[in-house]
Amino acid sequence: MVGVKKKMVTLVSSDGVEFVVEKRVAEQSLFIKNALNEGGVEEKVMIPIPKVTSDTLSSVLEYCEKHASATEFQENEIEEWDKEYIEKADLDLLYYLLQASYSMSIMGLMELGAKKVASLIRGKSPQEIRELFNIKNDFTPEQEEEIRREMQWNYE
Amino acid sequence: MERSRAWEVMDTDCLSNIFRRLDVDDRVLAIPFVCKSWYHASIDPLCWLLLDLRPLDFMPRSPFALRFTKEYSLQPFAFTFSGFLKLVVHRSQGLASHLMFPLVFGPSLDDLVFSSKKCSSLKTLVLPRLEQEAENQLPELIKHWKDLEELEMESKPSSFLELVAQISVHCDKFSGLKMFGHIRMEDSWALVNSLPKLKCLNLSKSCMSKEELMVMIEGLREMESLIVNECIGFQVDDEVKRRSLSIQNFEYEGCELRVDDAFDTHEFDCLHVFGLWG
Repeated sequence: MVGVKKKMVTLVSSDGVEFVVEKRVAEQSLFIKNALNEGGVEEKVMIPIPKVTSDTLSSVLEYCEKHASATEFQENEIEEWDKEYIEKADLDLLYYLLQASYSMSIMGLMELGAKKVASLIRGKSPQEIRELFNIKNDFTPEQEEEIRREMQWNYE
Repeated sequence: MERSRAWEVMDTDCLSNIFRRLDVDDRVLAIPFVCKSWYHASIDPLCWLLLDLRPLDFMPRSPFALRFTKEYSLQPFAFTFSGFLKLVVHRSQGLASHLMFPLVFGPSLDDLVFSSKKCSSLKTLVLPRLEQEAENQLPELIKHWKDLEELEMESKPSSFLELVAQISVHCDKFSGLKMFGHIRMEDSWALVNSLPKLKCLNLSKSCMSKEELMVMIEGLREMESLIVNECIGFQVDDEVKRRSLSIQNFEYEGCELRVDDAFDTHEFDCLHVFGLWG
């Protein structure tokens, strides 16, 4: 009987920071899971995570760690944890979490982030949304008119 | 590094994943006008799989109607339910999986026919009480919704037997029905004979006797959920409980044998109580 040695992988963020995590944690990302399967390499794997900075990756891995152990918790405990986790993310982090979960294929995190952003948008006017998300209105008056006209044919 | 987030250049897939969780009015009135990239993400058909029109007020002078009229520079009073339906259905490009009509100002026969032709991927359909003309046509339209799994109706249509027969022929995956009305013996048998694989049945606030209920409990062998809250005409006794043991979720709160002692259960017509048939 060999002592159970946890399989580890090393993830490298876009700004060059290395994160050594358990394989089962990293595999919460389908992108990494596929990369590991294709490589067929067992140990000392280095996986670059493009476009994800160390700040974001550290938060993403916090999520992955919790969800890799999901079976140890009651379902509502995980729900509560998710809620707190996403509550404490500011708009910047939310943005990067969404992009990262999308590029790393972490479905649960993508859902969680998208739901949170949707709740921030709900019921707001276009101007309020632009202010909240710091978006510039890049329509020309003609283009705005075009959208309206496209809508109007339904009423002809 | 690039610490300046830019919500306007986020991946379209990411954006549409957010937008599809919004209510229809946000998707129509707010998102398209934010900026170009949000507009483009907002017309992705994947944002329009869920068409839940129930929260919207389609009364001609409602705040929603007025806001829509203003936002899209429509002629005064040009806003109609049919026009709005066409817009959202057009956006979904035939991929809509859920269509839920509002209870007031619901679909005309034309709207229903339009939806049956343009929303052929529907899994869930929620209908308000229909006009007689539309009710009569409903069974005819079912053949367009081959993927239909769930049907919810505000009341049992007069064409119910024909409707069930058509569902049985055309909708292989049909598994859930919700409605209320006067459930007769022939209705129970129609469900058992035509839809033996029904998994969820919700007949809350209906009127039926224990016999009709038992036919369904005994006949629908794959039923996982049976909800008959606030029904009139039976009470759940030991025999009903025993026979329904295999049903995982059986809810029967507030059922009453009869409303008024002055009426005999069998002759009593509960429809007057609910005012269903005018």
